Amino acid sequence: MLGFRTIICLAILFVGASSFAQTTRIWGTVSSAEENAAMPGAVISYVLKDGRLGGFAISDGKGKFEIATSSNPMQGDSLKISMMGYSQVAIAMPVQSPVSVALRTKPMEIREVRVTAPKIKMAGDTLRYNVASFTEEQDKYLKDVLKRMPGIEIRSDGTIFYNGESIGNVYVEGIDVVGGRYSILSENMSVRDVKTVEVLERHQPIKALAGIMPGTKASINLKLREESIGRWIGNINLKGGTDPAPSGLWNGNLMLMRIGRKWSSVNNVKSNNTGKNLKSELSDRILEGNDGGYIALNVNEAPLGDQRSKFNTSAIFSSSNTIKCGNWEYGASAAYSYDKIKSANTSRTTYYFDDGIETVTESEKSSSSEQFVQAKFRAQGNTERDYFDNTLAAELTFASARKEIDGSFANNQNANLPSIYITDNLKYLKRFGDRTFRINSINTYSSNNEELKITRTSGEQWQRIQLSELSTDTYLSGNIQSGMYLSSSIQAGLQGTYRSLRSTLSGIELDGLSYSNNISTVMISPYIQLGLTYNHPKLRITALLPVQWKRYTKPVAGMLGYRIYTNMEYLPTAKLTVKFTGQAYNNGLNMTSLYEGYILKNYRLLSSGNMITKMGNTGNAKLALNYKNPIKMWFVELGISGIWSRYPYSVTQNFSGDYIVGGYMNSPSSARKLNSYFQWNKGLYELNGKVGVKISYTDYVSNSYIRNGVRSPYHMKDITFKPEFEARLAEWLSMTYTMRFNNYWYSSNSSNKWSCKMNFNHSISCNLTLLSNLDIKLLAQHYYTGLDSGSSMNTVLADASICYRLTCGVELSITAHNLLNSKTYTYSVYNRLNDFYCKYDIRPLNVLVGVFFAF
Amino acid sequence: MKTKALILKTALVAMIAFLPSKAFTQTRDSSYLECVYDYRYIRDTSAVMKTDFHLATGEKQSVSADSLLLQIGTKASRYYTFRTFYRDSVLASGTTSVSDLINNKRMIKGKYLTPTISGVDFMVYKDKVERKVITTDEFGPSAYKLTEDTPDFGWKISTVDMKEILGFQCIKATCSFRGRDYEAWFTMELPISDGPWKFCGLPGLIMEVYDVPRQYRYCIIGIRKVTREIKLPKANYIDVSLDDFLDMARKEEENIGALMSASSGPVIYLDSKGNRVSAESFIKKMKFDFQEILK
Repeated sequence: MLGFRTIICLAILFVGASSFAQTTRIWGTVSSAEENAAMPGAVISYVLKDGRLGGFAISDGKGKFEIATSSNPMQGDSLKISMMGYSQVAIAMPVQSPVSVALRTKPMEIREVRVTAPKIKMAGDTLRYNVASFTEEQDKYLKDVLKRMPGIEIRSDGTIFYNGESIGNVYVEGIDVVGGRYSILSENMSVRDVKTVEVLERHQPIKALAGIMPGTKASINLKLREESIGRWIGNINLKGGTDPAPSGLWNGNLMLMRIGRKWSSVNNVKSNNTGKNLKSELSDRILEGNDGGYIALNVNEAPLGDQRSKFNTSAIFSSSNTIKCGNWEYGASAAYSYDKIKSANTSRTTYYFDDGIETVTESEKSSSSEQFVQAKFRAQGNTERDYFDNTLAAELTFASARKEIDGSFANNQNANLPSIYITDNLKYLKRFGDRTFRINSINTYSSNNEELKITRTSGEQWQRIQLSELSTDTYLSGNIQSGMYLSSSIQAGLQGTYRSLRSTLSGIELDGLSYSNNISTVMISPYIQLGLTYNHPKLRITALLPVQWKRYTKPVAGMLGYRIYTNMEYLPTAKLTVKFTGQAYNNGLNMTSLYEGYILKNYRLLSSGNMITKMGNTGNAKLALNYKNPIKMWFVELGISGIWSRYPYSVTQNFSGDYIVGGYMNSPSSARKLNSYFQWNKGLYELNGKVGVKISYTDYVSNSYIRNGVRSPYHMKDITFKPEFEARLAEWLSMTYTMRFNNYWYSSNSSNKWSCKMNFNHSISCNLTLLSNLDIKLLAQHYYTGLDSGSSMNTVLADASICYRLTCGVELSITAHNLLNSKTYTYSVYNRLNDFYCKYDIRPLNVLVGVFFAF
Repeated sequence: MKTKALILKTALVAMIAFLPSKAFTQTRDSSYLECVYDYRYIRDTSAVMKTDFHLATGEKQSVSADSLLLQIGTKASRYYTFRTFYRDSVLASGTTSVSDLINNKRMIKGKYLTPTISGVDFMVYKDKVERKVITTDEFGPSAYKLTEDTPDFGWKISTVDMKEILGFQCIKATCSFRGRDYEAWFTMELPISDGPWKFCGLPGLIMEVYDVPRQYRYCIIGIRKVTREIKLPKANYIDVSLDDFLDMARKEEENIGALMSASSGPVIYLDSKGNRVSAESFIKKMKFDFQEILK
């Protein structure tokens, strides 16, 4: 080896560019002697007689080479052909081109130099966001920075979406510290404690299902800063202000939490009277709550945002505590919320009949309050072979509502709506190699004890309802993985419900049905579901086929239920995705409407039950085409979807004096909805912004309603146009403009012509950063509402805020809402066979001064 | 039942068979040698590396370092990160699957290991038969593939400069390539015309190569005889030109939000009050040039 090295090095040392004065070409091929195949990559050196290198070449894919030497080949020169793992061949010069060389294999002799494998540098999951790089100076809470992360969106109810789909849960350091109530973290946790946000795509929280069944939803895991782990951290935010009434306004928040290796605690106290119902922050994304009862005294919602249209007092307290012992986690949490809302509006509802219209004009002052208490206990064991999870939760709700209504049907309503809800959710899973066996059992008990008193000039009406329900959904399932892409599953289970309804109604005199109900129903439903998943990188297919037998005791009925579901995603190229989703199913009997007498829901709506034992059938399908060109920063999506329903019954509405009596009757009906949309988005890289537009069109036809004994088909169409633009116009100025234009068309048997209505709103916001610690934000919104008579209403709203950050971490702010002191907001919509117009009081000009501090 | 299963399988195979074919079929090969290179580059050109490649001035964070693997076969070679190597090794062992890695953070040597969104990492694949160099990477959520003819580096071999690296006698060669002047050290003791990144074309293995201002440097730290399959991972690549490849890399460095928006649809940016704002808050100014500088 030393001799070879010496010769080669000497040869190279004598190579000089200046020596290649004359050029001679030598060419040929190199092949393998054993396989007689061309050898690419062989090194061919031309070595002169005196040891200098005359030139070199590398053989190409066909084993061909060509060397340009500096001098004519002479006796004593040689051509050396080398390749790792092959014996070197030396050919004495001169030689005639083409030169054909066959190399013979030989054991490869090489000094290995072992290195310790380096540590993996890129830790973490599918997608990681370094929080610091997304944080702006004014960001206080986790939601502020989450909203800014690409692909993540937080909707008005606090639900977090990742790439358009709601996430499963939020973890802190891998621990489920709030048990599905993740808004507590996103709304209140200080962003400065978070180091990294990890988005776990298709996250499978059950370790024993890893590699067999991917999760269906993404989850978020928050990695804290080292100094924030194992100690109490939190923040305080206090705001106070006034409006011209004058009345005092407040908005306060205290968050205190500790995340440790062994135990964690998250505590939050919060209160405001500036419009937001804080109960939404306690909403549980894992456990389902009580479905509610019959009495409906809802406060009308204006599509303007709670903080502008609601006058409330709201408070919450929550405490979530988790202990971790190896693979086991134990959690206990308690939550309380209080919300009292006052609202005032005037409305006009137009009812369309076959032979004309009826218009009801009302003004309403309402106040409602709700107290909610929840306790929850959870135990979870999670290993690669077994998974156990049991969650027991109990909820108590004390709701009451009062409404004063003037106008066509003047009355006062008082309702008390207490309810209890208890649920236990048990999951156990065992893995055997590529097979799994699972038991799930969800058992719930709920009780509603409702009371409604209506006072009119003609007298009083009382409705009392006692409702209790016990239900179970227990199933066993198994899963088998076949090869890399295919997996199949089978699930067999039993659903059962016992429902008891007792009600009495007094003060009403109507013909027909009874004023009381006393009915107990049992539904038993064994079912089996077959599932198939094919998960190829270019083609993903999921198909589910559940079949179930449903048996009801009252009314006595038995029926076969099904729900066929298929989802297909085809990726013919990297830029194009075609998605198809289809579903066909029949709906079981609606147990909430299985009664025979009347129930008074509010001053106007009287519901008559039914004992119809036939089921409807529904089918829906969606086809979407998605094209992206990240290089040009284009994103285009277009899709079409349809829903078709056929029912063996129709919905009835009979106007009888002060009441609208709703119910069902045996008469087939159908409904159809078609929707198509187009969405285009283009990044404006140089302006750090984007421009986009979304257009959607919906066409809905239904003949499900029979009003006053006459079938009343109706047809609705609407088109929505939403352009948007955002850009940084200067170093200190960024701007966003959004617009939404809606045009509705409505046609019914009675009008026999198309009515048209237009709504339009647009918004412009500017962010001015004049100093590094001073931000000024300005927002202006214009709402245009088209009214039925051809007239229109315009509402203009403006806000401004200034925020100044002190060097000690304290932040001072002053915010003024509704600078133009607009007093009312009007909107108008078509709702089935009605036209609804409503005018709201909105919160007048108000100013809040605030201080924020995180520790 | 058997017939139905056969029909389903045939339909799936037919759908996949009709997928658009690639521009050319990559040569598959097996390695006979694997080399580990220490790779480092300066992410902030206010920092300067000394001749021994330690920092002369600037912050430690200004230098990014990693270890990469060059698998060499007769017909092809593949240069890629150890992260990908580990992932492939785990998958090949049969003890886990891709979804396992995606869904349940797999622990290897005390570190979590999961694939990127598209399942693609940075990789340079040299096809010696077709004389192509294929570079793959992931920018935002999409995988990109750049296919070029094997570059002609125009190497000039020194007559005097020699040094020893890992016990192999090395000779100096120089070249200019896409905006940078390079110095390389190769050994004819290993007659392999290959090297880290896109470098090749010398009559021996390139053991060390760096640009003259010392902003990018590759140096061999290990050699072993290993037989392992060399291939490009199956992925939905977007084929791009060199201009577009570098443009996407720049956008990912400077404004990942814009890239995500262009790849997965509109991304909504809101401030703490729920008002829409522009995405400039996380836009970074690149403080270094890519290795390839196009004019």
